[in-house]
Amino acid sequence: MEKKAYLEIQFSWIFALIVGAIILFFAIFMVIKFVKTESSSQNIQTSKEIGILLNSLETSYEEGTSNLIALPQYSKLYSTCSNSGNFGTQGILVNEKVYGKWQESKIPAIFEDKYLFLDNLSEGIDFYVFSKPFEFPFKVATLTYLTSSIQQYCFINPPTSVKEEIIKLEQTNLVVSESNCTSESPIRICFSSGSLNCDITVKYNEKFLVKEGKTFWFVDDASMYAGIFSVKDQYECQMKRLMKRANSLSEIYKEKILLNTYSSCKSDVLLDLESFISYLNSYSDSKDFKSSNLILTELENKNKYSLCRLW
Amino acid sequence: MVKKAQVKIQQTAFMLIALTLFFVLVGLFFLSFKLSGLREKATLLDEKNALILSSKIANYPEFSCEEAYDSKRVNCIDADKLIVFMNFKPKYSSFLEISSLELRKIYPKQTSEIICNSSNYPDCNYFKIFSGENSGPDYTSFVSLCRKEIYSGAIYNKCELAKIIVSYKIK
Repeated sequence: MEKKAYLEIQFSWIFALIVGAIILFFAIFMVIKFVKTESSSQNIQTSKEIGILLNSLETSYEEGTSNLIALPQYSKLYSTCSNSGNFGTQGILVNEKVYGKWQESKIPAIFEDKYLFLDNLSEGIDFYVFSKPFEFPFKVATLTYLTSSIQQYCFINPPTSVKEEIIKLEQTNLVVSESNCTSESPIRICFSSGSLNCDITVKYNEKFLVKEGKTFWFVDDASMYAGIFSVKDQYECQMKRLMKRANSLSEIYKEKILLNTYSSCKSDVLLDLESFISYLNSYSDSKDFKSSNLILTELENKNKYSLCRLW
Repeated sequence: MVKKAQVKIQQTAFMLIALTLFFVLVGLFFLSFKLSGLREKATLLDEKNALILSSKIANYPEFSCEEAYDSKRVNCIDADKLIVFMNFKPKYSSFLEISSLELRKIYPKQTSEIICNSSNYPDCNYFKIFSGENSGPDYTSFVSLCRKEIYSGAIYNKCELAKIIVSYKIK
């Protein structure tokens, strides 16, 4: 009898313990999953908010001014780029550091109308953003450059226009003289061939820059900054997206000339627009910018001196 | 004795099942509460986006006047570009992440509403650029709407006052 009673208690206890452990394991598993989802959702929310904040920088009167974005946590910012679709997409990904541990998130906030350039080293709490219009030859988009406040960029011997622009920005992590280049590991951007210890060499008149052994071709200051503040694959992808947008805008301008009011204007931009569209269709990478000079000048001049300007 | 033991096991099993069900229900309630919060946050972000876009959209190169009307103008929409843009709408359907985008001429005042299309342009006063379903509240901003006109054989710039209306999609 005693044995039976002993067995009875033992069995119910074992049963309760096993099922209890399963419930506890399931509960812990769910809590961990939930915390991960919550931190991912927080990261996506921050990414989306950054994207929305960038909207206010894109109005033409905000161009050429620098703004500070302060994040709630120490974070790493990533930019993703895709060429698929009509205009490609820009992704913004934020990974926060919570209690010394990175909360990895793999889902970026996606935007079709943004062109954000940032370096691999973009981490910190405070980030500087400034923007510039990309004109090719008409305004195609506003390019936004994001840098961490803890990363210093030293512009060594820049041309006057670049120097004046950077001084006007009043962005503390961008300096234009070697004497102010005081941080521990600054990124040195050299504009003259004699400079030493250069991370980026810019051949301003030849319109290309070399970074990490890779060549970035540019057309104007906006695309030059894009090369300075981004990595090669991102730069090429964003340029391709910009060319897609330029193509669509060219089509709009081409149809605009065909409106009745423009028939009385003596405008021969149409033919140039057509050859510009075929140039844009054949664009493959930034090396193709080398051959754009002639057509851009033609288009710009013909539009400028036309009786009814298209842009 | 065997029966008593079986009853005890059954009791424990029922108790554990009830406990599990209770926790599952509490978990489900908590999750649905959190999810509704997420949806609210997403709607709030879309609302913020629409608010900023309403003041920014006039400066998109697809709509803006640029320097076509003498000097560079801020918050100026090129009506000639806008009417052409209507043919490119499908290409831009997901571009702006908004539900609807409209533009109404408000000055000089016109008696009836005429929706613009390529056959009645420029004798119209309402551009329906995008019109989606489940639109949220409207956000508006004022812009100048410019176009080229011909008068006695000469081309001149004509600018009127218009209101741009943006609304976001309710999730």
